[in-house]
Amino acid sequence: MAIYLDNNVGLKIATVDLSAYIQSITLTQTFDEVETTVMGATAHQFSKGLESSTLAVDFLNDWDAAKVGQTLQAAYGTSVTAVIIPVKGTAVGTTNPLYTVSILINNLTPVGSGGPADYASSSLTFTCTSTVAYATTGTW
Amino acid sequence: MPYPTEADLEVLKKLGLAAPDVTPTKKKDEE
Repeated sequence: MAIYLDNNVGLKIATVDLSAYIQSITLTQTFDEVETTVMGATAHQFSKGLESSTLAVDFLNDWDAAKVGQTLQAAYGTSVTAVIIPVKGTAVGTTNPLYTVSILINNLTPVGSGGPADYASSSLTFTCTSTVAYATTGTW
Repeated sequence: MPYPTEADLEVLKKLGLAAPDVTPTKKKDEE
């Protein structure tokens, strides 16, 4: 697989497949830069600190059983597992790796946002509470 | 990364869904 259309990303939260309600998803891997500058340095020195990643998802809301609303509400206030695959339905491999991370469900917009002409949606950014595990084997 | 966690299974329980056919991971203090 080379470049690909970003229209089939898979996302499971707490093992529940919410892919069909995602309009956009961004997993941002980052870590703290801890200053380690010492005497004699002529420039600031930084070292890798703790990982501090985020998972941003734009959902179309659905309050049906075990869909977006109920799943996130059930997970609210806890850290649950998010599993993301670039191309759902394609085997996990080096060209379609699996990303697994624990996310704190620390914000919800239960009634969504939007107006009379819009579908209710929720743009949420969750703080990751683990490192992002990258795997080229396994199942989504 | 161990998956699903007990927190994941707790969500499934609240949703009334059956847990996937895997053994839940234990917390370190339970091992």
